[in-house]
Amino acid sequence: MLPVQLFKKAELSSVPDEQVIKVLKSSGTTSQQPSKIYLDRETASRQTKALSYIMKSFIGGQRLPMVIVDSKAVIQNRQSYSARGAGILGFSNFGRDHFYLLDEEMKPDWEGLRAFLDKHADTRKLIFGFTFIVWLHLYKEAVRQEQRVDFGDSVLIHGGGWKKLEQEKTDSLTFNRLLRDSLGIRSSYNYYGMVEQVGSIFMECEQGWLHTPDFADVLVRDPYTLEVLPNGKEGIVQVMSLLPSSYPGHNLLTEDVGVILGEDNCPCGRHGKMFRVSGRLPAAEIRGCSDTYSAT
Amino acid sequence: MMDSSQLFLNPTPYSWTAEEKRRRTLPLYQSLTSWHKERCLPYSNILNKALHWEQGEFRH
Ligand SMILES: [Zn+2]
Repeated sequence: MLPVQLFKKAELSSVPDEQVIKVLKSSGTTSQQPSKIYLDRETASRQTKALSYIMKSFIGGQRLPMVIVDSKAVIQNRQSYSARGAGILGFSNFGRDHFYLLDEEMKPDWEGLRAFLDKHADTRKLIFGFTFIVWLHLYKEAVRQEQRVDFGDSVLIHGGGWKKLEQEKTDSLTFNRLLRDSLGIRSSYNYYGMVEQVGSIFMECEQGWLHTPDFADVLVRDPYTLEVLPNGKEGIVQVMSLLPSSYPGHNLLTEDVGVILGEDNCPCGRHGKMFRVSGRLPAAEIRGCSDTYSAT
Repeated sequence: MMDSSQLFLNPTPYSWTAEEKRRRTLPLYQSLTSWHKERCLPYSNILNKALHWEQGEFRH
């Protein structure tokens, strides 16, 4: 088990440089180094396949007209992607006729959006974006500018965490309700995932639980002893994925706090563990963990 | 190049029960650990300095 922050400190690659086709970088929000994730062809192709199987279970198999709540500028460089770029490219495989809602200054193109929605009025639409970007640059802006928009038959997939929305006191259910009431977005699915395990995401089902797919898993550990905790007890989330062979990211201790609620018994019918992620470990505890467990 | 993905990537990724998942995936996780230890020196150094993790790191 590797503390996820080690990808910021060490060059962790299991393949020769010439086999690396893509490098993913975490968004460095602080002065910290970004994580660097080295992908070879096999790992990248497994990630794409895995994500497509997961998405099929939630939105079906056909490609839907797609609104991306972000700026196209995020995906300009083709060799090195930010976490945001990697997310957008990964999910854009499930859409067609992509429309990027935001310009480089993160301002929404309402006219363009209306034209897109008119054109696809009779079809279900896929919307993708990072949770805080959807919240700040779509929802809040629409409300502030009193824009009337109805997405119609549409499904939103969003992820990336709630941290930036904490002071707004928004949870998943409130978020879904507000987006439905103000923009007509019919259903929303949140997911939990990280750039260190692209493809291996944990989608929140209709019941509001995150689910582990067959090729990935989670455990919850005590932040001090690292003992595995029983279901129902909150602790640090450990994530496992069978996808990465080009970098040692198959078994990671995150900095997130969560709780497992059950396994194989969700009313939605999906097997696997059901869990929730409630936030981040306080900074002091993160430092404690990395001092103890990553003595490099 | 290692590719055992047909063993775990299937179009219905929420099908295995806990028992089945454990039986199928535990050996794959263990072989991934060995794979990376052989190929990524910093990873192998980190694991060697923390041998106590090796036992039960996947719990099962
Ligand atoms: Zn469910």
